Amino acid sequence: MLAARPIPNKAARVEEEGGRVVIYVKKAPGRRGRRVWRRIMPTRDERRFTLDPLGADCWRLCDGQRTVEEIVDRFAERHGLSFHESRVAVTGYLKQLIQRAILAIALATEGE
Amino acid sequence: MNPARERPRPTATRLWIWRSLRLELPADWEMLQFTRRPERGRCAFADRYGFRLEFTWRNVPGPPDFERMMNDYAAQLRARKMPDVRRASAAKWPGVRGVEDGVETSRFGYYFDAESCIVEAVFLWRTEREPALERAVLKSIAEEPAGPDDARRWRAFGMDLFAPPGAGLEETRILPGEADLVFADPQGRSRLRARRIGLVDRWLTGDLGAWLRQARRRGRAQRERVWTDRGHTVFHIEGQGPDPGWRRLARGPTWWTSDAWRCPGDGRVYVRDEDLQRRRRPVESANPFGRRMVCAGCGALAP
Repeated sequence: MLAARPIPNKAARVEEEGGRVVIYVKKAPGRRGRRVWRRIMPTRDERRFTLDPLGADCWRLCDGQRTVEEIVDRFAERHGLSFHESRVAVTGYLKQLIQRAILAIALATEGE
Repeated sequence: MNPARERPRPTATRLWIWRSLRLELPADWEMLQFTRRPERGRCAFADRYGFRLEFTWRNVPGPPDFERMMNDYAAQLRARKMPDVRRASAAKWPGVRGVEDGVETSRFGYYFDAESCIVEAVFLWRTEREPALERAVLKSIAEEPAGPDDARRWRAFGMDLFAPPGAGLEETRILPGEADLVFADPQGRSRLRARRIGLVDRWLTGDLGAWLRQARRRGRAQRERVWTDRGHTVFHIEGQGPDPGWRRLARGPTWWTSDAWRCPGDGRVYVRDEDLQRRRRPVESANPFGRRMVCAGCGALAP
């Protein structure tokens, strides 16, 4: 897990609102019934996620190049945390960002 | 993670004291699992890549027959299809070595007389076994003598403190950037809460003294002091009660004190709250900060 690289979703739109990071992710097209319903009752075709300052910091560290270990180290250094404290916080944020399709994880290949 | 890509271990060591047992471990090993029970329990330490040491203790009435114990143990491991089980010994600790689930492990046991307990240390060698480290760690494991007034010393999660006499570790809360340990005696007459809080700029907007006053103010007879000790500005607040009438009659009032300071070394806030139920005001020590709790990572301070 430490050798994996979190990769940001290129389709996600990122905006800064008053120091907070807001990420918009396109919704999946959905079933036909839902598409018909959306024509009748138009809704936004993207989901909006607001990150807290620590989550935003974690997101900014995910540049597609850094491994989870490097992100954990950077986060620990910035916030004066130990490695394991930072690991718990960072992996928690990463898990949420992956569940919301904001990030994808590239697993390390054999030997990495 | 490929072991060849792992970072080298730092040469510095860190002292841990848990249940009156002290051990010195590489500075990057952190306690990830622990038991509060003094009679029987376990702590597990890990570096960034995985668990490295399991440390277990068990109270026993007298010294065990280690020779027999180790032979029985080796037989048990062989029965569990653990190949190549060998007897070993390091720093006077008898033990066994073998490979379990693809990981080389070495297990050692020792009896500590004053604490009447058997301690077992299990090293998990994900990479090559390091006999020098094994020896150094085992050599460092010892009983920690009781401190002033028979108070027990604990050193973990960045705090180095003396728990009130007779008090056990009752509650713990360990989160990223927050460690909270509560010690209490079985009669409920003394209670100590020690906290180390990180990410300070995220939650402390004003003055630390004002924060402590707001967090702790209750009852009456407030007294406040501020002093500086080796670069640490300590905010102290103390008071009495409130107590239900029946409890006050039976045991006397609750005298409470709180100290908070921000360590310039690690930037974290340390808070020490103590409640004592006594008929008379407790005698104040000359320097409660220096004697009772310090920041473990701050080399300038010693308890």
